[in-house]
Amino acid sequence: MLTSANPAEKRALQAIYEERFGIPARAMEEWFVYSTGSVLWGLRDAPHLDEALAALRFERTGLPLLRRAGRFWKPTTVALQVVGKFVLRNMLELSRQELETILIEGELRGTRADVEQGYVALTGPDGVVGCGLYLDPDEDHNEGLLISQLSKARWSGMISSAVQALPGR
Amino acid sequence: MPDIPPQISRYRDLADDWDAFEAALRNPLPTDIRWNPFKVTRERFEERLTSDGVRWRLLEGSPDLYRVEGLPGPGLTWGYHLGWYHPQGYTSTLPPVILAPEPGSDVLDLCAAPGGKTAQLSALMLGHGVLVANDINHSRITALAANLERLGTPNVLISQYRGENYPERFTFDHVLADVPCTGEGTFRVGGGRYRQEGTKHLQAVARTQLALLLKALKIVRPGGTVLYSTCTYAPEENEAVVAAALSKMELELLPLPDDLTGQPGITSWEGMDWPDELTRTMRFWPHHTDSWGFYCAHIRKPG
Repeated sequence: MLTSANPAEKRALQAIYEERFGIPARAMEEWFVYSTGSVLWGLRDAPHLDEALAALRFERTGLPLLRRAGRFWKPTTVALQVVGKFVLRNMLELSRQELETILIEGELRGTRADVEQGYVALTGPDGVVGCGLYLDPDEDHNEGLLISQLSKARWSGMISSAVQALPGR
Repeated sequence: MPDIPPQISRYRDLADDWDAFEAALRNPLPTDIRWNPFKVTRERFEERLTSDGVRWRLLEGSPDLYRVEGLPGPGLTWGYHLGWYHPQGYTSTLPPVILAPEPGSDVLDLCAAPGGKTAQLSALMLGHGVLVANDINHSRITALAANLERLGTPNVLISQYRGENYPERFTFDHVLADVPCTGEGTFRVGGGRYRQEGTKHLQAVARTQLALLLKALKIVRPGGTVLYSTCTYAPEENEAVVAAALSKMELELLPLPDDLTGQPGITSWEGMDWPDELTRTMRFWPHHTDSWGFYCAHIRKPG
């Protein structure tokens, strides 16, 4: 049977979505959050959810909200898209062309943004696209660096479409 | 005609207009996409289609489905990757529409992968209630999970049981039994999806279908409903399976919505006779819908 996330895991969820992205607590309250160790999952609560969870064996449930990356948790593209309309902070707006570049190359150099270093919500003309990692300029890279956290496998159709549209193709 | 396989030519007397049916099989399948309310408003979705130069129209009987022209590969767009829509043929959207689960109800999609109908059920439930998506095949579950995550469905639990042996410890208000079938309804001349199989295969598939339907009827609560559907024309997989279930337990066949264009189910075929109530089931033909051939039976378990 799946178990509810422990207090430390719930705190991690709050730290990322409420504190880092400014998403109001009420937007996350509807989720029943549980842990499988490396992933925190969210499932919308339902009248008979407990009975179903006790009676049947499930492979996966709901949507991934946070994934463990070493000692840290990172937000998922899936969750950022779902709660995207509530994001207030650490949002990095990119043009369609910049989004295609980061999808194809995996990173975008020379990004200067008024965001805190760390995970950001990548947004484009159609709203929140997913998760990126922003690094401030330092001795290794004197320009800001934005690293894609979008799954290449999940976005393969868009990547091939963008590659086909490149000049000279 | 040599390019219509014999398995399909045998339905010459079933289709109301064989020439129109053949002509439909020679046309490429149109592109249909289902708007996903979890990711974008309908207004924004329609605006975006229009501004991208996509011509669209809504189809009767499936309120969230758009028939589109000018979309450059439905799986290659920003809208697809953002989960704004799911490519889904018109007739394959009908089983969830007919089942019409209420928000807050408990629903099982017994043979769920790749998940288009599951996500549609979730949307019809407004994301509220227990929705279990089951499939026996692990790799198909991976595809199912990817689709559900892309579409942001918030209330789906995925199980991996053999459908015929689904546990009976938890019961449901509604069960969708969109069963594996010979897939004849997906055949189009020059299309690659349909694979011709022999009579033995048909018999084996029909046995599995009956076992799945009986299980669905067992785990639905009294007063609840089961939607049995296939994408085949074969009466052995359609009316014969439903008739066999009717002979084993007391059931009520519900009429299908009036705004659907199809032919009533048949009551006899190649020496087999079935009860008149089978005419409450419905066969959907490509020349009526310009979509896949489909069959639906809406069954209520007495309360």
